[in-house]
Amino acid sequence: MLDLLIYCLLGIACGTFCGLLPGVHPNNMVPVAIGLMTALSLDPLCAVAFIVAMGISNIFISYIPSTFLGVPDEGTALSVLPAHRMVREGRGFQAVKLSTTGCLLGLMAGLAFLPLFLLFGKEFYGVLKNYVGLILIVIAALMILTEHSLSKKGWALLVFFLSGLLGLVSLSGRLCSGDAALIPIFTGLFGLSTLLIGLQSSKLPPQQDKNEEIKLNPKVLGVGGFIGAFMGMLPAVGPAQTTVVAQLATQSSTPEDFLVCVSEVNLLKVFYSFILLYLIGRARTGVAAAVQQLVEVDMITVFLMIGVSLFAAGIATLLVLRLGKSASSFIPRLPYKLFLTLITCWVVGLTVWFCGLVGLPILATATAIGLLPPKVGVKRVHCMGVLMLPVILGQF
Amino acid sequence: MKEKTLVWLAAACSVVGVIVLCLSSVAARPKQVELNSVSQEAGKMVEVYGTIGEVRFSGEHVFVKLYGEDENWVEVPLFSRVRSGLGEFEVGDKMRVRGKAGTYKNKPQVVPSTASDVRIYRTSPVSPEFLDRYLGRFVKVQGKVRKVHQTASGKSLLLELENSGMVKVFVPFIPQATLEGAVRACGLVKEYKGELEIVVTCEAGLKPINA
Repeated sequence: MLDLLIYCLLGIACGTFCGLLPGVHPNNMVPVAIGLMTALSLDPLCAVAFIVAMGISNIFISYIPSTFLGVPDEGTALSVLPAHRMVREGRGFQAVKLSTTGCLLGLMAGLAFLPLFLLFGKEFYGVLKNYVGLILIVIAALMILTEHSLSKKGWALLVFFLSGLLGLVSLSGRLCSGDAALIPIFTGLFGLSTLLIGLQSSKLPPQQDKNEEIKLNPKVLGVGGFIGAFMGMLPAVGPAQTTVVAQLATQSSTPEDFLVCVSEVNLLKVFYSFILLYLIGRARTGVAAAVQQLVEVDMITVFLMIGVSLFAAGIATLLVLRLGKSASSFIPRLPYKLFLTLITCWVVGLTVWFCGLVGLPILATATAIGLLPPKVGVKRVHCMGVLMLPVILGQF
Repeated sequence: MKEKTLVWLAAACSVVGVIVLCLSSVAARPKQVELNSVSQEAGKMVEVYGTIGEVRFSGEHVFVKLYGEDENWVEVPLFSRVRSGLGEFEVGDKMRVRGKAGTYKNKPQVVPSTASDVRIYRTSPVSPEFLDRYLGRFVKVQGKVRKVHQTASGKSLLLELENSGMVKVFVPFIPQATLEGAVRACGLVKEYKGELEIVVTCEAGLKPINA
């Protein structure tokens, strides 16, 4: 028992490390961790505890760099714009608190829906898996149709297709490995493009330290939890698409609701990927694939992973509150332009490290496309065409 | 919701997590059983520990006979996908195996499903002068082959190995390996006509080593 707790804590430490370093994902650590565990003949349950704790805590922590530095991954991509906007209003810590609350309460909502999921999830998957392409087309259409004017709908369609074309070219695996290409794609579409707009101002405003209350919309939490749980099982349906559906279902439009919803859905994608190993035997995330390599998941392993997730989520929440507060007081004091330049160098370096020089044109193109939505006044979610269009075309 | 409430919620979440983790780890960890009771636990997940007494190869699969202190044994089939994830091992090494208990042709067996269910503890060759401490146990010795006697039946050999002392090794079969230079012999320490000898139990228990 004590060994499991120690490996949970090690996993949380590792997840925190990956979460704080922009552009570094637990998937980059998984091969190293599995190799090390096999070499040490580690108890597989300890290895599972380590990986689950790393995956869950990473989701919580990754909202700190995505909020203050504007460097996202697939899960935090949609949160960057509203969160960074709050940073520019001096409410960065509030944005981090909203994301953390979304993650923690999302886990609880996910647990509440678990019996339903275990009872009907398999049948639900059996029906929906044949219609993934169609579901994505409906989601894309809804995303575009929610823009207000005809010209904006046209721009949204253009952004969707441009992003989709970028996805088709860069995720084909011909330029570099598909997983590695995600780094310049998401950094460009959602990160660098936000940072470049931020460069127009000389510094970040001082962040408010007052204990602002977190306003929660139970409808967002409930619907987000339900949709997040069930849509996570579909291949190629990521947190972004699920958030769009949840937003449409709840009709909420405030940035606070959006941040809670996107972080809830993002956490549930990872949490339910562990449950799906038991239910359908398919890994939907990198960390779940690692667990699948280590053990045959049965009901007891599911309970063990629930325990680890709850423990890691609790500790990660406390860590985020502490680290988020420090970041909100520290980052505004830095020379903003120099800081953004350093972050840009870091992400460019990461791109070259993971993709080689071919990553640079991907990053430049993604940044250019990512600059379009704020300039023409449409939502940045249309950039998710980068994943959706290749999957839609692959289904037909 | 206030920040303080969030902190309390996180703390409660951690505590519940530890409780669930504790309960599930008790249920998830297989029962540790003695080798002689494996057949009574048929169908259940168990964990056994013992010394590798025999290693048999069959294509890409390996069959290990695991012995306990009281000469009870179970067979551990290491199918190719499990075997490929394991490092080197030989007779005399210790092994901890987690897997499904059962019987095959009335022989008790524990079947691991992944390489991580098997943990091997390598042991070192013992010095011939301390052989008496290992009576009735599996050991490894190594040394230069000084003499090879063929027994009267012609179906077994007796080797004399030299390594800071002489040690007799009984090989109850005609080995395929060339017995020249230095060899490593792994087997059971027995007493025969007042003298200690190592009885090699399988072909894999005798192998030439590079000088």
